[in-house]
Amino acid sequence: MSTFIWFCGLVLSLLLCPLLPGLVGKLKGIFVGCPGPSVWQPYYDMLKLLRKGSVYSQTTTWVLPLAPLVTLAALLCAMLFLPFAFVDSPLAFEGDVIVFFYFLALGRVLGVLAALDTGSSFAGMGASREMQFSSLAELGMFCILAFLLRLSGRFSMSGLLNAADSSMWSYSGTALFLVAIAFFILLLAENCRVPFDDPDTHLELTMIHEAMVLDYGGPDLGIIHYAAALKLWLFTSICSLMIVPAGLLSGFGGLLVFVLAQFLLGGLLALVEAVSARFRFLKVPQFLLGVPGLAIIAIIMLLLFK
Amino acid sequence: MNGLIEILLLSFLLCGFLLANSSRLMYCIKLVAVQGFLLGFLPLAVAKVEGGSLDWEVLLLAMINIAVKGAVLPYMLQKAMLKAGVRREMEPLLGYAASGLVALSLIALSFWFAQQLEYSEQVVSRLAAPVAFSGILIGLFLIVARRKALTQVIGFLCFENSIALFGAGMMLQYGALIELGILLDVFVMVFVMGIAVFQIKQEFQHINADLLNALKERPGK
Amino acid sequence: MSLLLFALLLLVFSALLCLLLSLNERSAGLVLADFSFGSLHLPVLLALGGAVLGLLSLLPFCVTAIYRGASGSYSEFLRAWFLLPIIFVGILSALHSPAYLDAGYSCLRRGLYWFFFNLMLATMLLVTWVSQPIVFLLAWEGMGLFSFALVLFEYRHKDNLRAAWIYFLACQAGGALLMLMFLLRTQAESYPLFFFISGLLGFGLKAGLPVLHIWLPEAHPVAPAPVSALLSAGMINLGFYGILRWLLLPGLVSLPLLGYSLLICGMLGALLGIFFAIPQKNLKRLLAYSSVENMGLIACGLGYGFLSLHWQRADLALLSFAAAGLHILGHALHKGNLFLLSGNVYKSCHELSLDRLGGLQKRLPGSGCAFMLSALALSGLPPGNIFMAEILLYVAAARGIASGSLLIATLSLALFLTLAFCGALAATVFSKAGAAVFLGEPRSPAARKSHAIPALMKHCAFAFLGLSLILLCLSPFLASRLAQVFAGQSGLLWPDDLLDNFCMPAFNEHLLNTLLGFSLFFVVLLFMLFCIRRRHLPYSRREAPRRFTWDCGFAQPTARMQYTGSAFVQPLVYLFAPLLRPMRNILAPKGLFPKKASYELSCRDGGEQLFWRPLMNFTVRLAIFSHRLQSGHLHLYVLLMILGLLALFIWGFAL
Repeated sequence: MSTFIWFCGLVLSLLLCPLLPGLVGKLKGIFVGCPGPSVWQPYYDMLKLLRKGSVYSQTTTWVLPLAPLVTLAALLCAMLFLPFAFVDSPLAFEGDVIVFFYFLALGRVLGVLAALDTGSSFAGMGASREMQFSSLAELGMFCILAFLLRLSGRFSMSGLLNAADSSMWSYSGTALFLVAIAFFILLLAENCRVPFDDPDTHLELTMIHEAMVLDYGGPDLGIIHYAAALKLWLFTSICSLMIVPAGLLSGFGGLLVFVLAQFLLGGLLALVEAVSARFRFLKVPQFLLGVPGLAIIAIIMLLLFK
Repeated sequence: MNGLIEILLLSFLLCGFLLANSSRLMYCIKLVAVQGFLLGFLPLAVAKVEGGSLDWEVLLLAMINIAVKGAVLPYMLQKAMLKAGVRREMEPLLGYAASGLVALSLIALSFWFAQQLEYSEQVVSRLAAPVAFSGILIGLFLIVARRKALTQVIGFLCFENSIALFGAGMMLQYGALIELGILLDVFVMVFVMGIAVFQIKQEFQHINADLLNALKERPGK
Repeated sequence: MSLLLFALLLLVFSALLCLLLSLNERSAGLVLADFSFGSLHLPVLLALGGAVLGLLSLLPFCVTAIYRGASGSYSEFLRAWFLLPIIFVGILSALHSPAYLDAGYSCLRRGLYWFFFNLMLATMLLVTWVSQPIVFLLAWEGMGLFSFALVLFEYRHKDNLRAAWIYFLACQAGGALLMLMFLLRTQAESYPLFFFISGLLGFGLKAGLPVLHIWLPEAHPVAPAPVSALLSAGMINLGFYGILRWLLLPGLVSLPLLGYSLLICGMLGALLGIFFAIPQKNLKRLLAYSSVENMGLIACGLGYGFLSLHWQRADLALLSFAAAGLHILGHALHKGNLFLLSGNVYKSCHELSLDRLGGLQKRLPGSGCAFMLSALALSGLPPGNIFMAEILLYVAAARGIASGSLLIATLSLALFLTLAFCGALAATVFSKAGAAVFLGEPRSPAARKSHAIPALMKHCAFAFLGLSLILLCLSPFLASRLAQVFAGQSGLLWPDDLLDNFCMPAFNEHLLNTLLGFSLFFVVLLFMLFCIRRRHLPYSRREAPRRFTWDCGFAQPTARMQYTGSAFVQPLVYLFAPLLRPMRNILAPKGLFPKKASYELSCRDGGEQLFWRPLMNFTVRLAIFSHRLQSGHLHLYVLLMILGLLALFIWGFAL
């Protein structure tokens, strides 16, 4: 039964993930005082793109068309370890955390290689920034993992994320709170959201992710959009699973809460995007280095204080 | 349990950490102001959690703290900064990332140190001591590692806030009396520093404290 | 033993024969076979055959020793484990050599190359095989000397002389330290610490531990590509072989000492290596720094293993020993491959500077694919050999964090974060290398005019990939064997009463099996997605039209507009500027119609900046100071002698 719930969570994630950027776009529109695009807009975009043909640059090689597929396959593989709907993944094993994040890294590296494959200066710029920020973000991510590891004592995605039962909140709640904030910052950075990168920008010089995919079109671009939405969904899932105590919910109620939590986080994301402006690029590393800082403070509290 | 107090203390700690990291003077002043506010709210939160009634002494102390440390001092600093036309950057002697690392290790050190202490029963929260220690250390670090006279005032304020926090968190006897004394001290200090900064600026066109060593006596030829 | 004798004789005789034949004009020019990769002269063929046959003859021994695992002896297993990369990389770089040293070199130089190449192989075999200290030392010195001759192969450039000189000094210093170690070994009871330090430094010089790594980035770029491959994949590992084979004296070298020094050296080395790999502009130099990083990670694995034994955590120890062992094999194969491929690149356009290459994927498609795959694997990305090793170490560190005391958790956390950060930066470094060489547009006329390379050079790369795939599939088995062997050595490596249960090797195997299955799933999924993308979408069967890269409306895009490798990493270089201390060399454009402008970013080696140069300056100053004593006044000399005598008297009587 629980495996079935988990599977439902998996399928729902695959189906609903484009809704998340749609929701963010809609809410952002409302925040700034216009109706905003429809929530279903990402679906329309992807379907439109999938029906088109593609054009490649003369410079490119096999890397460019392969990269979106690798990114998507890596995400699809990685997501099998997430405890959807608060149910431990049936595929979980000790160490799957590393597999999860390294598969994400594989997708990212392929994306960067594809960007450099085009020989475009904009894509190169985006790739350079992406590598810089993501290597700092990786450090923060593993600090957060170390904290959760110490807290839960289990080294699988399911173990780490379902660690926060209600008793944990009471005796190391403050540290967990700190880590949740740190993770939310990472979520913004890894998914190229506003304070780090503006997904809606129209100036190539200020972009990261969008600059890297300038040379894509047609189905490839559709796959990239889907992969980005899926990645956002995975990160919000991790965030919500980390915060919400696992023992409270089970069954379909858990599933419902799980899905709702993603949309709530999407709302929070929209709020952050609506009220903040993009950082100067020089400031971003400083901000990103704060994440391991926060996480290490939390680890110190956990190690030395309990 | 006492989640509210812990969150207050944690925010205090984070303010200290950010102080070591941030590059803008104005932002630092705001952070110190937030520290002042948090410090003011702490006794109120303690009273709330303990469930006792609010003594007028506690209330008064909180009000004074919030007013002086949260509003008046930052306002004066801000004014001094604007008047003296100081540049917005902190001009660190040690880079920001390195400062962050140092701040982290200071925090680790103070947690380790606080772990060695023995606590009496009436401690408000066991988090108070390490947070106060790290605030003190970070304040001292700021005084050492930043170039401007104004940032040294900020470091001193952080230092002082942390001492007050230690008092409040440890429920020292006569805490209020000591606190008022310190407060007066700081008030005068900031006043003097503000004037001094302004005067230095008038005389030398800049307020880099480390250039003051140009005034030292040189051996005659 | 007879096997080794056979291999040695084969290698030495073929080397001598090759040299003798090369001296004679007529025999040297005798073309025996004419393959697609050029003509094969008689001496070369002899030497090549000797090398390949000699190395191949040892393969059955390695396979059986590793297969037997714990039931065989520890030293035999260790020997086989370190021989394996030498055999693989040795054979493939020998096969790569004739094409690399083509008609551009005179017969005599080719003969000399093969003479030293075979002798170096022979001494490497000896180093892994012998158990008498004297012979070991001789072989070790010989290995250094012969490889020095090979590093010096392109002796006509002045820079190369300097690099070879540094390499020579490093070899000699290492040899001297090892001699000291072997002298102290007989009296290790009285000077255990000296024994340990001299051994660690001596072997560390070969293994490229931090600060001692100084010769790696110098020697690798100037050596011919097959030699660099052999150095980086075969020889530097031998430093760890030495530590595991000679430095472990039960009861004398304490576990925590060994563990702490290896772990800390390893973490520093890994971080330093990868930091300094970021700004490198020469492809082989970058690879050399990446070797420093990988050696650091191997040292981390070993050090963490010894420390866990000290902490009585057998499970962590076996995980990390298995990680170190797998890392050695994986690194050897992929780094060997990348060095040989850098040889291909050099052969194709006589250029190794990353900022001048580019677009070679179209001209060398096979080499390009192989380079990308090896680069991804070396970044520790799944599903690669290095990933298999790293995840074991990750799991060990994670268990340490989760369940250890404060000290254990802190050290494990440091290891965990080092691994993560190195992984992220290695991905940056290798995406820089791969993209700057093979992707985009050619950045210089040399790269534009690149010509085709002999097919054999390409096939070597595929052979490497095949071997690493086989090793990848075998990695669960290998990991469990490693763990079993290390677990069985309770008399030699650690006190007898330390370990209580050995159920853990099974865990390694299980974890890696799961990972393998998962990797297969990933590949299948990728293939399915690929099929869907190519077959089942509208318009997908049509050949996609080719246009220019989007250039934001700029009318005439040129290759000079694209990002170079240096530009790609520039933000990171500036982020780590306090450590890397980048130097800028700017020629700013002047006037309304500037003719010339340039921007160059370079970094000097960290160990050189922070340690060796200050040390040298200090030594020079000391020398200048002591020079004053030599004033030429006889009185002063006599006074000094009297003072010395007096001091000796006082010392003698006071004690």
